[in-house]
Amino acid sequence: MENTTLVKENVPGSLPLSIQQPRTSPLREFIKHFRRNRLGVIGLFGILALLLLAVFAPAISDRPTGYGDVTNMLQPPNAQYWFGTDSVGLSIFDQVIWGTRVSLYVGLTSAVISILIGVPIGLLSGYYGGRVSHIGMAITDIFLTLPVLPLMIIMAAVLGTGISNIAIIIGLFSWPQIARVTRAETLAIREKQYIEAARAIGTKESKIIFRHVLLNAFPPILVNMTIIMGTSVLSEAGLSFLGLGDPMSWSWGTILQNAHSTGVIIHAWWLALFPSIAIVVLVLSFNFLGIGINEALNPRLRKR
Amino acid sequence: MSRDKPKVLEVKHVKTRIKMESKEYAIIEEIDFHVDSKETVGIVGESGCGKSMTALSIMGLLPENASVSEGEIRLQGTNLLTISKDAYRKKRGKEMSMIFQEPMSSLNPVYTIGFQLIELLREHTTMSKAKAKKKAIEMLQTVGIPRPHEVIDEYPHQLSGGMRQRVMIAMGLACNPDILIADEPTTALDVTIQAQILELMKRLQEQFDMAILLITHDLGVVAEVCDRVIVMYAGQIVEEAPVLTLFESPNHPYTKGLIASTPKIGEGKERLHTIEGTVPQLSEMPKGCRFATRCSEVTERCIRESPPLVELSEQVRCRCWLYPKTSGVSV
Repeated sequence: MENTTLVKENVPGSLPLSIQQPRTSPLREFIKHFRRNRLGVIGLFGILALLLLAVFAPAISDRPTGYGDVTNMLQPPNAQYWFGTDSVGLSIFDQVIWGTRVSLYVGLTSAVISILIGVPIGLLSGYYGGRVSHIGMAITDIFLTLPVLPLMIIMAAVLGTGISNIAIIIGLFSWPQIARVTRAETLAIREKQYIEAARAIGTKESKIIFRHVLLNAFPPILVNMTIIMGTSVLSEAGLSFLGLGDPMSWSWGTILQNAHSTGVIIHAWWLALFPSIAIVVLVLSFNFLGIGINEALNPRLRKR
Repeated sequence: MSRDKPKVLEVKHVKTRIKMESKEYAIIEEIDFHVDSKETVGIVGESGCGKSMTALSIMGLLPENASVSEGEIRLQGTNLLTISKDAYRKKRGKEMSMIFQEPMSSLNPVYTIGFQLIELLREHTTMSKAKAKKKAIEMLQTVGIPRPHEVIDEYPHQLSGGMRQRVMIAMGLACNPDILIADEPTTALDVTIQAQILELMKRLQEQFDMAILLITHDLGVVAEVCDRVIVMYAGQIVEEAPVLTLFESPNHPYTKGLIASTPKIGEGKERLHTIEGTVPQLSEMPKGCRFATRCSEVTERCIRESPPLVELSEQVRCRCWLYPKTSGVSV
């Protein structure tokens, strides 16, 4: 596939006109190497499956509300209720499916927020250095040393427990990692000769920063973004478990919280097991995707 | 080489300082030269003598901790040190261009050749995208890139070093600059490719009517393409002369040493001459002549006092006490 192909018309006695190299763009190269990476592909399929579940949740199951099948409370997994029922007779399967929406929403939103804050801070402090860098990194370090969980709890209590609020709060505390990675990459790229060459032909500084530097710094940012998606799903589950989740929407943490607060968790293991598996699958999928992207982009990590 | 030719670039008494560990050092001092239109001037000297810093000072691309503290740099009469940052930026790539030593890393790996050329053209002109693309293909053809229609959609890693240097030259010349500053343009290339690139630069100089400031440590390259040569040592100009004069009758002991250390065909019997020692550190710059520590003809005066750059004859200047001001004015 990636071998050079000779031009077909090879008239006897004449040499082939040219040896054509296949067109390779960085994107094609990336796809080629990513496809060879088993973990990455597993992660990608895991996330795609969860995405499909989230999108088609209404078609797969009914939205669990109020009281469920009260004659079938706390049923263990069976043919009718695959994942069993909880203390008000609601299907755990339905809850887990609908919880996928919330978890993915939180993961994506908080990752986007941390990119929006972290990338500019990292880029500018890496590119300009000096005072800009001191200020940018001071803010980043302060955020890294903050006791995140208590602050998240306080903010969730103050802002109210809407699912968007939860996502924003998690995003506000996840960006320092992105800022650091972006800055580290920028510091290396800034010294590259193609940046100096870009300056030498009169490229605008804003273009150098946001086109030339950012695009080259993108791979590690992307990898970190997938990791942040995983950790923010964990954070959301934690907050929901502490009772700070959105009571109006089902998240995996909320299911665990219900199981815990009703005190049935000792008898009804299925209440804890299935949402936990969902969380593990999602976080692992994001991490695998991150590993896959990283290895596909970084030739030194590629396995033959 | 008459004096009434219009000067494209004039560098007058330029001093560039660098700040390191809260101390300031002058990395280049009293740099004073000019480049006439359509002329090729070479700057030679060993590593660390300030060649590249001179080029970066002219381009306004000095690192953050360095700046030009004295003097004037005039491009077509405009003092570049007094114009705004944005006006300076607009001159780069349009009126003055620079190509670098490492063609392998001078192109952004994530963009196609065409994208980078078109971006440059659209930055400095009001060309439409289609027109810029046409011009880009034309430029690639001019610098001798085969199948330019395909190369324009290729990425830098698909081209060889020589090809990439050709692309860099195409980018440097795309807006028809008055002067091209080439910082060791052939050092990273194979010898056979070196000759091709030099030939290309000479051909394009005629075609585009531009001046070239060639920075190199290779006297062979200088002999090949330059009209005039400036020899630098430890941040100062030590000698300046037309190329033939320099090779036939070098004045400064350092220049003599440089020429003597060049291998010559048919004389391979003796050990190659070397100049002992290295360029002094910025923090240990001698008070007198900067070459005094390595000079074979050093006198007491050399250690005590720094010699001025003296005009020995028309177009020949030298900074050495061996040549008292008999026939010229001190600069």
